[in-house]
Amino acid sequence: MEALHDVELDIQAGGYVALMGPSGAGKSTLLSLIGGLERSQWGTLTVGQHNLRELGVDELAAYRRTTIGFIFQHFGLLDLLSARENIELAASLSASAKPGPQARDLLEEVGLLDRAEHRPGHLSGGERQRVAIARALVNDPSLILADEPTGNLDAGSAMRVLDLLERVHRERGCTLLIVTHNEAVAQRAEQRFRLDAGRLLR
Amino acid sequence: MTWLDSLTLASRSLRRRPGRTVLTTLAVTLGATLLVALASVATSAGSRIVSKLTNGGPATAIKVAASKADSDQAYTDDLRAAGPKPITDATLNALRQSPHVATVIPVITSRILAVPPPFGAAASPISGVSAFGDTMVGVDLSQAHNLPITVLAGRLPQPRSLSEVAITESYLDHAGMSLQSALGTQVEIAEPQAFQSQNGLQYRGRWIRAEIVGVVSQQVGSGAFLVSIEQARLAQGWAIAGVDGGDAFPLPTSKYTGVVVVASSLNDVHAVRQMITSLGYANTAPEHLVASVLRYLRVVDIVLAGIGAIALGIAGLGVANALVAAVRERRREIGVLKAIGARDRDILRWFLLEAFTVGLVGGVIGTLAGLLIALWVGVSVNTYLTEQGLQSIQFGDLSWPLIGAAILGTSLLAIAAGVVPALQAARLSPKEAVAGV
Repeated sequence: MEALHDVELDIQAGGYVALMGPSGAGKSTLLSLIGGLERSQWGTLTVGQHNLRELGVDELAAYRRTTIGFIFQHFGLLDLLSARENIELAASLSASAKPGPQARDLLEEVGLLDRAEHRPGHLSGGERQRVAIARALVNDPSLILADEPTGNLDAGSAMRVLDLLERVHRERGCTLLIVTHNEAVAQRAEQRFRLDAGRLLR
Repeated sequence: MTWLDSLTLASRSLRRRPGRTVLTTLAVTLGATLLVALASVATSAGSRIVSKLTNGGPATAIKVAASKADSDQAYTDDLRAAGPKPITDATLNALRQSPHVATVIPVITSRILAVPPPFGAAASPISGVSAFGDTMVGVDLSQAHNLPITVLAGRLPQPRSLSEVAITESYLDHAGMSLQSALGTQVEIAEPQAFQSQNGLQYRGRWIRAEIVGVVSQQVGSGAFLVSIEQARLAQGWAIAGVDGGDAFPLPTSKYTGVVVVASSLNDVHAVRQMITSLGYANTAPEHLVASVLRYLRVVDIVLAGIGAIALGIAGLGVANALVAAVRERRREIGVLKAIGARDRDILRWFLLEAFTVGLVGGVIGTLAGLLIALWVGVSVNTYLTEQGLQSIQFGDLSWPLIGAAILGTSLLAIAAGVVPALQAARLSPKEAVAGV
């Protein structure tokens, strides 16, 4: 089955883009393609200097850890590790790459330094998502991909997380691509796209 | 991902499922326990069997007699003597300089008259006490570990002692003593000398009184008394100072009654025996018997190793099963790790370290348990043997190669068992694994 068809999307470096659409429209597939989690079978996909269709398995992994910061709807933190350790693990994956900010600095930046040694199971949804944002930032990525980052949060936490993402985008100058069902969330983006049945609509 | 990160993930993953971890580790532990216990007991029992065949001496010991070898000597374990042939110091030197010879131990035997207690006032047999003729066997007792001597009770005489003897069970029968009651008692020994008097050929004795310090089983020579070679040499010198006593008490014709030659290894025994035969001396060694028994023991070892391997194989399946379940329930975590940039080898290392940890812990505990079981078996067997008046077996010696092999083996086995599930985890498509995250 074809998940995406005839999609042409250009995102400027440093942009803030929202991608909307109904379930099954191909939003997550597009995000996975851009994030290097899967390969496109046709077409061209270029992120910065990387032509993703030409990268091998290890090169894709390197691309994900140095260029991409993933934020998931269900946070994607490892329950085995504390908040600090989750961030440090991501940092150690790219130990040979450029040095990024320290885990404690990032936790302070997201307002969770006092929760550094807590495991995800002992954090609220909003706190977990903020830890996930800190983890996404640890390798200083140029592109942050957020898949429904507020989809699992109450309204207050959702706004705080969104504020944080926008502040990060503003202060660090990284590109922010948010997939969301929420019209209010999408309205805060500089550019909005809608996917429907695998086709991209502006 | 660093090794420390992988180890942290592995150890915390194991702690997250304590029940599964304990059961999997227990399977490895039981496998290692069985293997180590079987190997330890089999090694001890094998050593005991070979030791019994050689009467406590090394399996490489060859007894050389002061006799000519007959033409069939080279083809049989038995002594094939064909008339006397003196053993001299030159003979000993020739043997010592021969290839594949580890040790050469001369033996001197001398006929004696023994008088067990109670003793009379005079140093001679008294009425009511049965004196009996026997033979004392003298050897360099510092080399006793190279000789077919087994200590049943007490100890051996000091190497150069002239006042201590060890006796065999034959003495106990003559003296009507039990094994324990004989220890610490004394025995009077007359070393005879023939002399001519006006009444014809007569005998007189050089009397000594010696303490019985041990009860032994020995096949160095035929005799109930094991003494230092110095003691036997004195008796021999005293006899030679007399005259020939004819058939009843002939003068010694050889400086040494026999020699025990220890070959460097079991593989060298045949060559050394051929060399001794070529020197013209009759000799005996359980060469073919030991080789045959060792072949049977090897079969027993293979069977026991097979049983242990089956146990370890089951443990390996347990490890594999636990890891398959772990991969299934950790798809989300694998996906997250891959999404944030983990390589396939990072995931592989995480799961293999988890398997290795189970193997290592199970191996260490299992090895200790196996050694303890072998020790317990040893204590039980030795209690029974002692009750039966038999020599106990040395069990529970720490075999470092066995310990190392068991721990390393279980660790490697666990890793091998974990390879397939770990590869499955490593090769999970990140998109598929991250679905729902």
